[in-house]
Amino acid sequence: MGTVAELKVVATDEKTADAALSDAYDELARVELLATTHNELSDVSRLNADPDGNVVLSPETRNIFRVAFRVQAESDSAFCPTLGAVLRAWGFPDEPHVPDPAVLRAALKKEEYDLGGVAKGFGVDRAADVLGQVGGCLVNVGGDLAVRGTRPDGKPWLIGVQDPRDPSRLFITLRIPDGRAVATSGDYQRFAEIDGVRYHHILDPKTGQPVRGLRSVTVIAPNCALADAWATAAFVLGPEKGREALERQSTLEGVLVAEAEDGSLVLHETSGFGPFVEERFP
Amino acid sequence: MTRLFTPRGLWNEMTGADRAASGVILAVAGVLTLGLRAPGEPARAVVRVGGDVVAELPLDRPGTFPVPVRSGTVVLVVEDGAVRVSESSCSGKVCIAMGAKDRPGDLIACVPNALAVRLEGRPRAGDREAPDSIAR
Amino acid sequence: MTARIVARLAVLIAVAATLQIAEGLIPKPLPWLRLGLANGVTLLVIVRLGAGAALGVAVARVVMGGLVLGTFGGPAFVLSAAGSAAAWLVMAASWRRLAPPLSLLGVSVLGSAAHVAGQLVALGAVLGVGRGVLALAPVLAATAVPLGLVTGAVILAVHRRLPPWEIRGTLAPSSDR
Repeated sequence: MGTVAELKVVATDEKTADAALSDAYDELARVELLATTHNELSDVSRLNADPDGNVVLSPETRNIFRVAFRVQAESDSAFCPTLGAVLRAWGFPDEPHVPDPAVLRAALKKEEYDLGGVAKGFGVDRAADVLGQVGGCLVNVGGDLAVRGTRPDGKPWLIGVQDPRDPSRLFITLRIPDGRAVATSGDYQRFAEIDGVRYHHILDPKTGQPVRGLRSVTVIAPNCALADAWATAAFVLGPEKGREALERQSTLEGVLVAEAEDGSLVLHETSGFGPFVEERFP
Repeated sequence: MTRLFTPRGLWNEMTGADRAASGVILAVAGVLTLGLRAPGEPARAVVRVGGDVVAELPLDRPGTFPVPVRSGTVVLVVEDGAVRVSESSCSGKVCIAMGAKDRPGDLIACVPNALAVRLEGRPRAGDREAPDSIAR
Repeated sequence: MTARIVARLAVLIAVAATLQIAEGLIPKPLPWLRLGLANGVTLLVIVRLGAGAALGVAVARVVMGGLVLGTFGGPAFVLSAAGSAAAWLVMAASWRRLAPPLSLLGVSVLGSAAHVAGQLVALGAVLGVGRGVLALAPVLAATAVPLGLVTGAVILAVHRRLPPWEIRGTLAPSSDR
């Protein structure tokens, strides 16, 4: 997937751990193969090439779509899995550039599937399922992560979240209990700075422009696919509507991070987010 | 004239106010020497270059950490709960001579490189540990 | 300004700059922190020509020293400038307000302490550690008094031996308190 994967598992012996890790990596590769748009043989690519034809999708791909459509419906299309053409117009991820307005308008009309906002999380979940059978585990792919069980010392896994103003620092740490996942959408993950303006990869499905207003959103969910999709959805919805949308979801908690004029962070948290917080850094 | 340059001569030359001022400053120096070590054990060494934090090294994880600086590289080594500079591209190498530091509030500085390593402690009750993973 | 005054100031700046450069050769445990011998010249000028002239000499000396040593604009330069500025400020103010009862020696000691403090503040800013520099303070604070006294003694001796200086054709008040 072009990103860094970090897998940790608590096992009784090295052989078991190695075998489990190997299987987990296979899961990641497998999901990527189904969902990536970079490979024309993937399920998604084939579907885009022939949307009306009878393309046979694997059950797993259908599961990913199910999650995607569900979040789309519940977020009032803030999360939109059909922005493939628009993302291409912007040149993400390889050659980002500001697209011609006419090109952008045409792209907005096209429905091209891009599951980037949910497939990574899905992969994380599958890998965590495999590792979770062995013992406590933590799977982190490109910053989206899921945990099972606890760390070796019996405490819940401790997760730090990047400060959007300075990704080398953390702004908060969280204790994540068994069976939860954390995903973050931020304007600092994929972007291009053109003429001093930052154009990032989280686009408003209506206008095709990068969404302004928030620096990042972190969501805690029962699985990483949901966390991944909702982090994007909440980012698009903005600080107030995003928080309300998350609040309405009983299984989700999250924090929406905006930057004030003086450079300090303004956090909009759902009401159940507090208990997960271990420490806040100014 | 040369009597100015003997300790007694100098003392005589000083007014009462001079002596008082000198005494106060010496006292301040004494207090500073004694009073600055914070209790507790430091959890990490915070490394800054030019004022910006570039790394936080937990002191319970031994390792070697090269830090890029304007004149090249400074190599920090964490072992036995302390941190020190093992190599530096600066001209004076004062930072290496400063040795290993392990108390909260301690400082190792390489001024030509604007590099500072400051030991920051953790509160006694409750651990602040390094996270197991980072959500991005 | 007469040629004589310009010449005099030039000599003072040159002497101060030489002291600043020369003291760089003295081995110290913390080499980028300076002893402040050149502040003695600043004090002499404060006493003999006033605070304004002293500031001019100090600024010129710091700049020249930085250019000659090649440290201009760098961290060592910032420390030197901050220390010298603090020393000038404290010495000028205390010469005017606190002497008597302080003598030139006492003012020199205060200037030395201010020099140390100024450098520490600048160091904290340069390194970004702020209050963290206090870890280095004890060593420096302890040296401030002896250095201030020694420099002060030298300047006092010089001051007593030199004839009064002229400013604009009139004799400058030369106080020997």
